Amino acid sequence: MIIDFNAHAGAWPEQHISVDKDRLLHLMDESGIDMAVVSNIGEAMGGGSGTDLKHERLIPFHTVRPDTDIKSLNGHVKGVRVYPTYHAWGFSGSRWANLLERAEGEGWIVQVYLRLRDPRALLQQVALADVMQSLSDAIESSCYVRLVITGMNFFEAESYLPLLRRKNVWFEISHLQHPMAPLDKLARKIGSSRMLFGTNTPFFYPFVTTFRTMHSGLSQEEMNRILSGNALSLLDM
Amino acid sequence: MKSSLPAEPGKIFDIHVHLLAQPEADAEFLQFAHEWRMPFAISCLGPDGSMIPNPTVDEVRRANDKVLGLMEQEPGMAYGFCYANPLHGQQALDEIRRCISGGMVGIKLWIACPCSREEAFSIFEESIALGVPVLQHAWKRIDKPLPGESVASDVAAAAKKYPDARIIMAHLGFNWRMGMDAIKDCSNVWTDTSGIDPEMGSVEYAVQMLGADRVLYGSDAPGRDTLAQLGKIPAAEISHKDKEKILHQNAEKLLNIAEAEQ
Repeated sequence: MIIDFNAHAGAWPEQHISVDKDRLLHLMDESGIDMAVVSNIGEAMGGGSGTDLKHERLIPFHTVRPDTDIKSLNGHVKGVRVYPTYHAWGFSGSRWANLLERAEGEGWIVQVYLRLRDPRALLQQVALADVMQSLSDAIESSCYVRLVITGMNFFEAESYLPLLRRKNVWFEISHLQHPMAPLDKLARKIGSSRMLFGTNTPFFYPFVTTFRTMHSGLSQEEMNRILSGNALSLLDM
Repeated sequence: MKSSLPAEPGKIFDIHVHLLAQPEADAEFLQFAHEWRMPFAISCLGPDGSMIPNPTVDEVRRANDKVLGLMEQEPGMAYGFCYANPLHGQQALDEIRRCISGGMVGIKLWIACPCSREEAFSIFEESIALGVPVLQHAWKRIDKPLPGESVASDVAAAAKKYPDARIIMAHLGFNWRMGMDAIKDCSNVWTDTSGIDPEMGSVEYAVQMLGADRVLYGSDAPGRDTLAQLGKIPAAEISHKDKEKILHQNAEKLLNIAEAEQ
């Protein structure tokens, strides 16, 4: 079984992105993916229309921007997504505190997106290092909410190992693009129990993560954890 | 589910690899190449473990010597591309002749100067005289380019000035829509898929704009994860026949390498 922890549907015309539910399900089938955690890219980046995400194979997460009314979000989801390199969040401020309080109450996972595309192709409002510094400080001081870090590469991960080894933090793997064998190397640093399969669909080819995971040097046990075991536990499924 | 084939051992040629002069990283790549029975075109952009944008004559020579050494160790696997600095004038041409006569099969230009500048002209003239292709880095970013960095329009300008030169534009030009649009009418320009993230649609767009005959698989390893780079080709929504061309047939034809030789 494979669970993709990093997929979007919807439209973002400026980035030539347009994927409806049927197309997403087709891409998942082509890539051997059974279920996907998904949200609407148009809601996240404000550039396109919404799309219907209701389907037994899709696990919807809310998109939360700094101006989102946290109280207005319905509780019928398993998690929320924030994009702090694209939307300026202050992790020491009340908006972040309010989000964490609601997430803790609802049992929501908070997925933190650091990168959708290479920053040389898609401009970031806040540098990843600045986001990580302020996020690390906030998490170290008080956060027990379950967090998923998405969009970090291997070398960046090496700089935040204490954070990534915390029991309430998981690492989604789609942006491990370099150097050679980054999945194997990261598993040795933080343990495969902290890693989640993710594709970054529709920005990346979803099949690539399937291909590279299946051909990695990970043991079958490690692979099973990354492909779905960790996600099933995290999502309480 | 898509088949992993035809990205299978013995059916892949990687047109864009670097010898980093970092023993662990280089050994890791060689192990992968042997496991996948994958020959490769390789250049060294710095003899001492880091890539040098504007190397001296001595640095270029020592970098190329490392590639010549690897070619001796890995016959039928390592096909050398000679690193050249266009700013070295006649000395660059002398170095290219030395390396090609030593068995290298191409020339690699990085970011010493944009390839549309006059300093680079003699390199293209030499490549025509020697009958070898030029692999040119091209990277169109949203912020400022690196000093001396070429973009696809530089490659197109050089290709139009030298229609007999055979040029491989690396990385799909990074911004692959702009890159393919810029070189689509230059029949003497190929492109490689190396170095950029596995962005959905990139390989299909290259095939649509250039035709599958002008697209080559490349990884930019060991700096990049070979599996993430390789996975783009089976992932792309193109025909099996086109995947085979991209994975190895086009490179073998461009470099005049018979399959049996490998």
